[in-house]
Amino acid sequence: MPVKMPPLLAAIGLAFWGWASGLLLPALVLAVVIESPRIAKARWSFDAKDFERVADLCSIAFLVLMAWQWFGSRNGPAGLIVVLTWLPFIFIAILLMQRFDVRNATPLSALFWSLRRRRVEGVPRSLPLDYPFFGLCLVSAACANQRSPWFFGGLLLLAGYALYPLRAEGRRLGVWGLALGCALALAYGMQVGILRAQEQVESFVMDYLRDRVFGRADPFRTHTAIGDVGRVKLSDRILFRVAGAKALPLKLRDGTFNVYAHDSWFAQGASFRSVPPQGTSSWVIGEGDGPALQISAWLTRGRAMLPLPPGVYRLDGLNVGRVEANAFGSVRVSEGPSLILFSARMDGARERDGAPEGADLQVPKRLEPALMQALAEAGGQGQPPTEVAANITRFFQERFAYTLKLQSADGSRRTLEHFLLDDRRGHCEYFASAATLLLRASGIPARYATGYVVEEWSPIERQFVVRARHAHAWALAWIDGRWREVDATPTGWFAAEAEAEPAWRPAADLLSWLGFSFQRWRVSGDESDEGFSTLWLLAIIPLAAWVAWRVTRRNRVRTASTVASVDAVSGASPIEPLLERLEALGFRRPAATAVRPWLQSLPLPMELQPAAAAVAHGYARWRFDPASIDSSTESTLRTQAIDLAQKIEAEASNTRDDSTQRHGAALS
Amino acid sequence: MPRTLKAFARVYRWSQWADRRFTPAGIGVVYLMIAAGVFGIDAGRTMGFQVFSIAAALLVIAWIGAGRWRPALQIERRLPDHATVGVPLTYRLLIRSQSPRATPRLVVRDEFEDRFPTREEFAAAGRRSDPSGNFFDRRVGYPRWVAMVRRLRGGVIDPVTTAALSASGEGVVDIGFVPERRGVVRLACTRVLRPDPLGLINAVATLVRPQSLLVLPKLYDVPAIELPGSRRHHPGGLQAAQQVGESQEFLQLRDYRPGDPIRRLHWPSTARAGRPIVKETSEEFFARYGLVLDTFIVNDDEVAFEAAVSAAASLAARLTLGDALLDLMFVEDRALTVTAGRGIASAHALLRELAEVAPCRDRPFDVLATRVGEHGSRMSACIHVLLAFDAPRRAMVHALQVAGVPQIVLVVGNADVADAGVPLHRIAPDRLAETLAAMPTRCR
Repeated sequence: MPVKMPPLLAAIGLAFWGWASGLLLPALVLAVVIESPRIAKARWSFDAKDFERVADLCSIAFLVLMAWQWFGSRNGPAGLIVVLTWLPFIFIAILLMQRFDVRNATPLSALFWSLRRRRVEGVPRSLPLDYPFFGLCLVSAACANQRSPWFFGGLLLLAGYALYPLRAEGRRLGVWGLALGCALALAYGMQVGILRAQEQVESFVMDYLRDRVFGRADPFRTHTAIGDVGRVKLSDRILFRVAGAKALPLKLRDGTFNVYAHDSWFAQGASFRSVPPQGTSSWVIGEGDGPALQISAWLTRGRAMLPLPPGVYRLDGLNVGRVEANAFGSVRVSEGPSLILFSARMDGARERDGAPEGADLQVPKRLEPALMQALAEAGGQGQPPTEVAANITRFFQERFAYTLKLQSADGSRRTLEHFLLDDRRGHCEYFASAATLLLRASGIPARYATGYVVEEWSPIERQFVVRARHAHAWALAWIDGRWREVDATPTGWFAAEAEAEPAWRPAADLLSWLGFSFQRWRVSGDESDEGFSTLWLLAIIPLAAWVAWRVTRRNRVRTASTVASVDAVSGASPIEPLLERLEALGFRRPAATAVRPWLQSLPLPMELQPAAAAVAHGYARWRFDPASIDSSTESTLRTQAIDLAQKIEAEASNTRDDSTQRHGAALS
Repeated sequence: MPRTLKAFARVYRWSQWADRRFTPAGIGVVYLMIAAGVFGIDAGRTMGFQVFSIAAALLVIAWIGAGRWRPALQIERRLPDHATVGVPLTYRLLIRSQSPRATPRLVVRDEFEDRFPTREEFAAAGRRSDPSGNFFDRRVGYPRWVAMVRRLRGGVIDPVTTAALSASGEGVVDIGFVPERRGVVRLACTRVLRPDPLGLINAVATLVRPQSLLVLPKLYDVPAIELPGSRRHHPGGLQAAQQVGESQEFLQLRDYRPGDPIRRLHWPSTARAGRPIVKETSEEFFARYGLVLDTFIVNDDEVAFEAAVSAAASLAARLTLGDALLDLMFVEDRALTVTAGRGIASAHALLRELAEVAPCRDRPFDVLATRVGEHGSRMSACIHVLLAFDAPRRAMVHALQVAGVPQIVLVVGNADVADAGVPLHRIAPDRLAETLAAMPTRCR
């Protein structure tokens, strides 16, 4: 049964895709090309293998583009979405071929390899690709991520348009309309629900991952290991690479927090604002003048809190979609590739972390007695802020010990009070939290900062490497109108953490470097995208042209010069125009009668009968002994058939005229 | 393996269900929903979730719209007596509406009873499968399993759309399919499908009406065979020729001679004459041919077995002549001989037997050899369709040769056929028509 479809379905799908993907003009051109067979008269009789060749070419183009996006572009997996956005452009060749084919349907073997292995005799199973192509346009348009309410409205209209001819027979139009209306209303509710559900799930999952797995990526909250018992596990995985560092040790900060509660630090009132881009890959956070530091960092799902040195005012070469900064100096990026390489310019003389607020002096009530006792011991009261900070640092350096083995006497949770007053052993989070709270207790605004310490030089890579175990925490104290780092963790923590490194670390580092080098090559390859795509075009276009030439050369069956417009399936017969003319005159060949005897049995005038016999004979040769027919003979046959058709038509016209004249005479 | 086969059955039933429940447009919407769901899984990165929502909502409403449906219809299937493998068959469904309202066009699916391959059948098919077949089939085997189910069913019946029926009206639809295997195929039910208003999902009503149809083996052209065997003496005539008993073709009455059986006495004449008179019946001379089908399957090669059955059927259809008898001999659970010709039975009877012949796996070949040997003295000529040409088969052929029975031996497959001493022809299962057409036409 022929598939019922609304007119211009593929063209409308293409136009919608073009609008959504910002390629409206090319899409309209393609739409015109796709619908051109309505006007153009040329037709070809492609066989299944021709379709298969073109389908294979489209598939190769698709795979090449996927590979290019994966390996050659810095977009990484996200780049695959870009290829999906181009799907109509990639696969339109098959639909175009179908439109110019006399059958106006695509053999299924072009789409399914399994059908090519088991060819069956007879007419191959085929399918008009208009509806599938329309669906492809919708999916591609969706991948273009056009965040406009018109997009959903357009989808609704298109759904109604596409489904109208498919409605069940024997049902009233109103019932169909009601069902469609219900479906579209439900669809609206569903899409709102999906969006909200995804937000909720994403929020929950990210919250969980940030707390339990990444630990440090949440700009608004950081969970500390304060209270945990047992050995804190450290990873040797290299997270960042830093080149151009002059003064060591250098601290790269990725988060600043101002509220302490329940062993966690929170950033209150530190909402992020977008940093406007300057050019394609530069982002200006503030003003300044200073040296640059080259940082390479891995991103998770294209997002990360950037580890930055203090006083950063500009980021160059940072190819991400979005950069945001908050009042505490934290910077986060999103919509980026898996690896970013950028240059961070810093000016240590400028303060960009925002002036202290009330929260920077708050101390939890339950900790006050312990803090005051420790402060008295440190000697931090009644002295200038610089002196207090120095005393507190010295207090921790001299009377506390750094350890990753956290124990409590009775197996219960460790507390900050326990750390301050009893065992005086802990890791950097204890020291940084205690120092921050002690500074506050002495009246100095203070914040808790997390980040990494840059200290390990890699002779292989000839740059600094920052591992997961180099993660650190310290306090920031507002002294003399600036935020100054107060690192209370006893020196030697860096070496203590390095003690546990495994024997295979050099090999792992080498592998890591190779992986990094490969990713850097991928990312740097993006700068020559234009060259790559040109190469790709140079490779694909001749191939496409060759396939098109091979496919169309042999199969053309009709041209504008030979016949009138053809819409329906008419076959490739050279006498088709003659049969059409005869049918128009009321001589329709019965299905069970062969062409030759039928032609010879027509009630033609005597003078036309030899020509009809010649055409019938030529047709019989063309049909049953094609090897004996060359192109010139076929062309002669076609011309004879057209001549005969014109003569029959002229004869019929004369007969009608005679009849009219006689009738007119009778009337007069 | 059983778990895999169960999973195959589950997937197959599910796919059949989906095939019934979704219209082509509905399947398109399902694919669109899946594609949009996959590409739109991150609602922040693409708008695929909106396409997904529309597709899913359309399906939900279509599902509700399809609802439950009990059509007021009666369907009667009119099957022919038999069908033949490879020959398109058309039969009719008579549909009667019992509804006071007109019934719109509906889709009718006549369905075969599904029989799933057993573990042994599936394993045997795996051993036979083409090693160059596709990777998925070799590793998983689902396409092979589906092909087996399809073969066991007997064919594929495409859905047919009925004409609209007037109130309490009648209509007829012609259903056609090409039988793909011989034997009894079972039609389990007729399903009537009505699409929902959106045209995406069908409401399905099942009218259970199981019926069976015998499918005869596929027949091929075989050349005219000259069977030179002389007419043999068949004491007792035709009747005695194929079962115990004497001919009733009366010839004459004569005096009793010592040695005549008492049962031949004609008592009324004896009483009248006062001496024993016997009734003498005619003794007939006619040709009697043997057609031996080797059912002792070799290496589980069912393709070769089917080819042998087809070859035997083609020969049976060709050889059954009015003035000769044809004995078809084969072994299933026991040795069987079916005779046709001279008005006893037609070739059709032989074809019906061959339609249901099954391979013999638990009997020795001697059973067949013995049966053939018993008939050897009465046969004018014999044609063998063998699955191999090993020592027992050679011995059977040799025994007939010694008895002076001219023979033709057809061996299906690649057996060693050298030095047989009789016209011996190899039949290739994959080129059955071609190799049968080239078979010898003279017995020796």
